[in-house]
Amino acid sequence: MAALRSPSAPVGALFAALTLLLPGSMGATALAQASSTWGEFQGGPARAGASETGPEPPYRRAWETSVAPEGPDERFGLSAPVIAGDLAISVGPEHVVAVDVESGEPSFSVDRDLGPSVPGAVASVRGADVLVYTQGWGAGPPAAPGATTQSPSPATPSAGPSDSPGAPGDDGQVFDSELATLDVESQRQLWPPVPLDGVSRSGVTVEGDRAFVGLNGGTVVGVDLADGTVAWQRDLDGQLVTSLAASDGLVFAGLQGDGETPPVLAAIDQATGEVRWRYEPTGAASIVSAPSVADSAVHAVFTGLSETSVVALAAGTGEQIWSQRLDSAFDVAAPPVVAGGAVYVTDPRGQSRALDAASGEQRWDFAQNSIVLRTVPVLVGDHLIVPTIDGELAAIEVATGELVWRGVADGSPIRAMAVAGERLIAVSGGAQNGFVAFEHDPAGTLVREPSPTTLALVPMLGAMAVVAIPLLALVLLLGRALASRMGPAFPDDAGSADGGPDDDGVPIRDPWEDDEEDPTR
Amino acid sequence: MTNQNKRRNQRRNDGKTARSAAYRAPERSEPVSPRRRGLLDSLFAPRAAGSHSMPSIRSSLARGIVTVAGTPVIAMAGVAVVVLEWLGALALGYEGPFALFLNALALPPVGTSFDASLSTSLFGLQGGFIAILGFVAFRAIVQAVLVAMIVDVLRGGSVGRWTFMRALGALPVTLAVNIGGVGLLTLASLLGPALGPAFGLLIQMAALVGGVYLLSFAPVIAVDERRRLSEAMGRSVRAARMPGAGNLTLSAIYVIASIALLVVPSKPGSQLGVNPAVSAWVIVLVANLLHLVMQATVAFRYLSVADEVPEPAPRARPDRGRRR
Repeated sequence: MAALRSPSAPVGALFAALTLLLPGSMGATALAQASSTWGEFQGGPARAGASETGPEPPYRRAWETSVAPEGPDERFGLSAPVIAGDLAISVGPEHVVAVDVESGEPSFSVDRDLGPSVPGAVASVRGADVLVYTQGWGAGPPAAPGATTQSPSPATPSAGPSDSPGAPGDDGQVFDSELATLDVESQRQLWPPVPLDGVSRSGVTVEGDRAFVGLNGGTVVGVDLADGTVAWQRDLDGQLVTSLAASDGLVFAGLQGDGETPPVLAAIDQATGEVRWRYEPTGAASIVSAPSVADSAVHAVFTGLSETSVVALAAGTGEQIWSQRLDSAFDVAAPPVVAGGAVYVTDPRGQSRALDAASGEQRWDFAQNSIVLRTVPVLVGDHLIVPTIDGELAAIEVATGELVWRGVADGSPIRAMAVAGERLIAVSGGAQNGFVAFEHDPAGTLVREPSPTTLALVPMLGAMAVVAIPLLALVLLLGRALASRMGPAFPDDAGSADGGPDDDGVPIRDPWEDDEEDPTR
Repeated sequence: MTNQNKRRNQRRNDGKTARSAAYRAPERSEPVSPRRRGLLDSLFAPRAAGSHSMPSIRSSLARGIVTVAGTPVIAMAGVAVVVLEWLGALALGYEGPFALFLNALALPPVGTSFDASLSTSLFGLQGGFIAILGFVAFRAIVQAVLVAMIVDVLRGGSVGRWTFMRALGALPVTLAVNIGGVGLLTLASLLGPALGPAFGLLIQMAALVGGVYLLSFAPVIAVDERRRLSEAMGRSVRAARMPGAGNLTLSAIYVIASIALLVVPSKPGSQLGVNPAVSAWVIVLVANLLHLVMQATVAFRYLSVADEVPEPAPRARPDRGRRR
C-alpha cells in the first residue's frame, strides 16, 4: 500500500491531530432518485445535516443494539447510519449491518471486504432501494499484515491515502478497493463491484443517476448507477479524505493541504467530470472540512495554525460570498450544518456557533465544554443536536442559542446520527459499540441554559467581589501581623518616606528635580 | 532631596556603600571585575567564587510576602489589574478560559506567554503578532508601576506620587524586558520544532527560566538606581549570575510552578465561559498575588546585593603602541 504523504510539521501535526482521528463517521446519504429520508451521510448529497421533522427533545433511549467490533484486533466500529425504509444501515469493517428502526432488531448482515467504515448511500434504482458502498483496503489497514500507514483510532477504521493509485503495496498486492451495491430487500448485488484505483474514505454520494466516490489519492470517480459503468474519473491532486457533497449539477470535494500546498475546495461537473473551479483560501490554512451545500452556496471550514475561517462560496462559480474567522481548529470530518438561513459549526471543544447564511455574522454561540470530535451534529426541527465523545447528547434551541436538554454521558462516544421518523438513530463506539435510538421523552424536562460565553456582568462581578474582598482582608491582616514581626527590609533606609520633610527640614520636592540626569532616560 | 533619594544617589555613585538589611549578612569579599574577553562574555564567562549578601530563597520569599501583604495599595493594585485586564479581554471578545489569567501578573517572559496566548486567542496568529505589542506595552506599564511601588516599600518609604515618576523612568526597561520575553518565546517556538518534539517543551521551559533568571532584576535596577537601559540589563545579568545566589533555582521553581498550575486539568476556570465561578476567582487572584510576591522577592534580593554586583569588565582595547 502506498504510504501517506507526510505533511511537514507543524502543519503536519495539526493535520494529523484532526484528520487521523476522524474515522469513519463521514458518509454518504443520498436521496438519489427515491430514497425518501436520511439516505446518505448528513441527510442527503448536499450534506446539510438537517431534517425539518423528527423527535423533539427531551430524549430517552428507545433501544440499543450491540454490534461486535471488527477488523484487525477487533477495534473498529460502524460508519454513520443511513436510512432505507424501516431499516437503519451502517457499514462496518467486514459487514454491512441493518437493524429495524422501530425495534432495533437486527435485519441483515452481509459480508463485506475489509475496508474503512465509511457510510454508503441509498439510491433508488429501478424502483428498488439499493445501498451503494465502498469496500476493500488494498494492502491492508494499519496494524494489519502489509500495512504501511499510521495507526487508526480505536473503534473506527481508517486508512492512509495511496500515493499512486493502482500501484502494488509493499507486499505486492494491488488495491482491491471497490464500489459495491446491495439491494436492501433481497441483499443481492445490483451489478458486479466496480474496481477503484485506491482506497476510499469519502463514503458514497449519490445524486441523480450517478454515484460519486473520492479516493484517498485525490481522485473523484463518477459511476452510473444503472449498470456500474465508470462515467469519468478526475484526479484533483491532493489528499481527499472527507465526504463529497453534490448539488446543482456539481460535486464538491475538499482536498487537504500538506504543508507545501494549501487546502482546496474543488467543484466538478457531475456530467463530464470536468473541474469547474478550485478555491484556495487567502489565509494560511492547512486543512479543510467536508463541504455542505444549501441555497446554491457551498460551506466549509478552513483551519490552519494562523487562522480558522468558515467560508461560503457561490456553488456555480466558486466566488467567495463571505468568510468568518473563528478562534478554534475544526474536525475535517464534519461538514457545516446548513438550514433555515443559518450555518452551524461545532469545534472540538464543543463550542457551537450559528452564523448567518447570507452574511456570515455570528448569531449566537453555545459552549458545551465537552469534546466534540469524530462526530457530527445534526439539526432536527428547531434544535441542533450535538453528540460528544463521552456519549453526551445535547439539544440547543436554534432560535435562542440556549441549551434546552442535555443527556447523561455514558462514556461511549456517539458518532454520526440519522433521523428516521420519530427516531434519532445514532452509532456509538467504545464499550457500547453498535446502534442507539433516541425518541422523545414525554416525561422528561427541558431546561433553559444560556451559554457560559454569555456575559452576566452583575453576577460575574459579584463572584469576583465575594472572593476579592475577603481575600484582600485576609492577606492584609496577615501582612500586618508579619510586618510587625519582621520589621523593615532595610533599616537604614526606613523612615524616609515621601510626604515628610527630610533630615534638613526641607520640604519634599520632586526627587528627579535635583538630579542631573533625565529620570525618563 | 529626600533622605531616600540622597541614599539612592550615594549608592549609585559609589556602588559599594555598606548597608544593613533586616537579616544577618555574611562576610563578603570585594567584587572582582575580570577583564572582558569578547562577545557575550558577561553572560558566559566563568563566575568568580565569592561570598555575598544574597538572602536565602526562604527569607526572600518571606520578605516578598510581607511586602505585598503588608501594603494594601500593592495587594489591591494587583487584584485591580487582574480584574481590569479580564474586563478588557471580555470587551475585546474573549470567551475564556478564565484560567489563562492565572499568569496575568507573572514575571516576563512567563507573563509574556500569557500575553501571547491572549493575543492570538483574540486576533488569531497573524493578527496576534501585531496585537501582542499592545499587550506587552500594557504589561510594561503595569510592571513598572508595581515594581516602583515594591521598591519604595522595601526601601522603607510609602507609595506616593513620586513612585509613579520613578515608574515612568523605568518604563523603557520594563518595555525592553517584555519585548525580550517575546523574542525569547519566538526563538524557542522556532527552535523547538527544529530540534524535534522531544526538545520542544524543554526549549520552551529553558527560555522561560532563562528569561526570568537573567532579566527579572532589570526593572528593579531601573527603578532603584535609574540606570540606562543597557546598564540595567547588563547589571541584571551580572546580579543574576552572582555565584551561589540561588537565582537560577528560584527562577526554575517559579517557572515550573507557574506552568504546572496552568496545565492542571479540570481546575476551576479551565473551560470556555465569561462568568468565572467563585472557585475560579479564588485560584486566579491568589495566583496573581503570588506573582506579586515573586516580584517583591526578586526586588528584595537585588536590593540586598545591589552594592556587591560586579561592575562590567572593561572592554579590551587594541594596543596601538605595539603597532607602532
